[in-house]
Amino acid sequence: MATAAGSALRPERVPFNNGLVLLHNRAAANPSVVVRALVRAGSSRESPGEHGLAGLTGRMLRQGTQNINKAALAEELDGLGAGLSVDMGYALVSVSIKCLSGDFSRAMEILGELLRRPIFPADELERLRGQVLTELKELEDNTRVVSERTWRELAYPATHPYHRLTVGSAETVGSASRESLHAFHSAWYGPNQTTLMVVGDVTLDDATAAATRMFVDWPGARSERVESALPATDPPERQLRDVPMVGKTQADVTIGLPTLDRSSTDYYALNFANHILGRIYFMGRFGEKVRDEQGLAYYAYSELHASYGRGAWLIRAGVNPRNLDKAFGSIDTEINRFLADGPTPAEQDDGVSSLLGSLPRQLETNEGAAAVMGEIELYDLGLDYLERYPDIVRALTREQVTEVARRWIQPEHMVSAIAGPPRP
Amino acid sequence: MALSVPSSASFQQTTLDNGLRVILREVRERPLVGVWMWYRVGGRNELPGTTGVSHWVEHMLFKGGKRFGKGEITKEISRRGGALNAFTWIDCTAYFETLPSSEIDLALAIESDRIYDTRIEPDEAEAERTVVISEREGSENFPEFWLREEVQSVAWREHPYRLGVIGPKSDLRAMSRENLYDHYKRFYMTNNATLVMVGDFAAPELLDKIRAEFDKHPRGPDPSPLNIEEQPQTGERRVLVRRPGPTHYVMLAYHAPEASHADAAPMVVLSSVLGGASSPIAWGGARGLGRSSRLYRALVDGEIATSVSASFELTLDPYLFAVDATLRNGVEPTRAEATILHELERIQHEGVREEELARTKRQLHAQVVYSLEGVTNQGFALGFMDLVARDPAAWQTFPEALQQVTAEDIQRVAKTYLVENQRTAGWFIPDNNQQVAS
Repeated sequence: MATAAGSALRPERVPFNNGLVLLHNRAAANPSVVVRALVRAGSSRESPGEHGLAGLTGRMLRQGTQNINKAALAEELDGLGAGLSVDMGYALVSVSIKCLSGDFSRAMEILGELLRRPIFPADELERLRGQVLTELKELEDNTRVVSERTWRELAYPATHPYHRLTVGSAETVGSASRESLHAFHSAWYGPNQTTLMVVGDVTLDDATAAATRMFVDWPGARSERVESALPATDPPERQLRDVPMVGKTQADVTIGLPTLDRSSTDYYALNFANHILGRIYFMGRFGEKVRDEQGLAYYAYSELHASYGRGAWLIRAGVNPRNLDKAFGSIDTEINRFLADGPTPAEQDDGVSSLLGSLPRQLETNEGAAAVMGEIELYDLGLDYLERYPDIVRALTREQVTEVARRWIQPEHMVSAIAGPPRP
Repeated sequence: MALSVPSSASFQQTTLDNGLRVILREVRERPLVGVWMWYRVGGRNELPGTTGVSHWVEHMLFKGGKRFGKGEITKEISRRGGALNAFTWIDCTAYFETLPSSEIDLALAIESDRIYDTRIEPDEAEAERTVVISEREGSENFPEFWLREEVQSVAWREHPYRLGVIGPKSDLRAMSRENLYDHYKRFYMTNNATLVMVGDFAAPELLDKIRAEFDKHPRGPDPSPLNIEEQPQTGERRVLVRRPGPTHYVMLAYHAPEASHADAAPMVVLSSVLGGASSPIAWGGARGLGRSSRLYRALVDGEIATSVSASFELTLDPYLFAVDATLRNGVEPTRAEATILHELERIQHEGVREEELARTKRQLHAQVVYSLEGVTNQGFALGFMDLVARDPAAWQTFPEALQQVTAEDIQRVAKTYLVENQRTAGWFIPDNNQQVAS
């Protein structure tokens, strides 16, 4: 099973002299292709006081370039039936076009144009700014978002990018200038900061030729590694903050702490612990106890954001305010039980088989394959990663998982944030 | 350019003696199978007082039957690397598992156990009450939920579509175990279900397995057809929702034809011209399409809204064509509504340009192709189109029909359906000084 899964993904890696890396995977099951650039130009590249600049820069890419204006781009993409999306993270911005495979070459040209030659028209910036300011108000009305934002403020020092959401604030978005967008783009958008992926019904030769046409003469950007902008931080003190919000009926809860880097040797064991606590079966032990047995929430699960620096381990739950104390107690109990005893033998067996058995599903779509390929490149896992992965997971022992969980999930550093109606 | 769904879009269908309909499609690229069990029961089969019962029953079908105890269905699928879930909608309730094709017997055993032998224990039903209420409360945190629920509730006088799916809290608090069990026994039977499987199997052998699992189940009494006919609307209806919120929202909804109506395809194309295309037959597809659409240009580029959508969903009975807009801070709903109406009237008076129509059809074609990636999505498309269009071949013929729609068709349906006396207009007015009972 796992071997079959591995063989479903055989990425090819083509490094360019200017630092660009092309990753390609051929999959012909659907006549479509995902063309994606992962540029290390996420919010961690922002200077203090510029929060939201990376997001504005990413969103402005499609608002006009040297050779195509916004309206013409919209018409052309719609005419191809091609979807363009820009997603902002801490380390990366992902600029992605999903198109029919026959339109691949043009999609690559458009992607190249967006990445290399945006002109940030002043009137479009003002239009986007107004839109973002309303969106920020919507986010401030979203209990889940406010809960995570509050959690980040408590869990990371104010100087760290993980301290805040990537969207910025009304103040910083309101003051971002066209010149600052230009400068940010010039600094961080370049081949040496970019991984290009082509996944779908396109040959390696065609992918390489198209990438060469568009990117071989792309001049380099600044060379600092993105890891340096996301350093490790001291663990926070245990604390809880409750943010009352008018007009809400459910409380969204975020509980967790900063943990490890994706490159840590403890990663696989901690990921396994997270799988048992908050993923396997139906939202793991948290889902079983908090939802199934006690009926306290519609959802309760956990997620491990291992990237660079101390990525977050988060438990999320949506809870009626009357049940908050019970839900917190139940989550605490499960954490302590796990730290004391680790996974049961049955959970260990099921955890291994579920992680390995789910690979074919994850790799079934081009976007699923692109996600795994991005991880392989960004964290230097090697092109044979999926061939090795089954052995990595099978080698984990209950003792190792328990020991690593104790090392990284320390209750005295656990931070909690609640956003929802005032508590009765 | 061939504008059709991917080749080899074939399937087999058969009906067992007990009425269970079976639709099978072999896809051998990956060692996976997608299994969907569709029941023809949802919000449209409910009555005030027990609204939400179909959805709650759906939750209970994960709680144990004769062969699988509480939680075992999820564990058995998960430990094999599979995924599973379910959803309830106005027209149906559907359950799916996606898992390695070597585990196909497990999926059959689960669905066979669910159809007649779910226990719905009183204590389990009670424990689920707070979970279902919590699910509703999660939605209540969003202004759009309140507005849509309010618009739906006045768009119809008779038809149960006005009741939605999740149910009001009063019904959820009052629901009894007997309500749940009676509903389950009334609608869960082989002759009210369709099993759809797509993936890595040989259909003849699989059909033998299906018969071995399901032939033992007896046919039940056919559920009564819904004999509710909505009285024609005779004038515009308007609703206001005043609650705390970040900005104004506007929703304009029009009565629209059912999926099996000849006007359904032109309505899909019309909604795509207005708001951009999504796949009408399955979930998924590309994001970020539709920025050349009329409403996007008028409202988002026009600095009136931060987002706008036009939707026409395929349904068993006539449902709604809806335009939803999230307004920029400081923009009044009057202005947004007038702009939307102006765009609708332009199509009614001037029609659409040929190149605009071609661009829209291309979007629809591409979105259909994207939405059929993977066995789970293909199983959804086959089962969904079988349900709402009453013909599984519609997963192929309906996308083809979209490509035959003419500019005249679009202008005609815009004039027929997007008219004032078929409209329900809803505004969400943010009132952040208001105290709201939860």
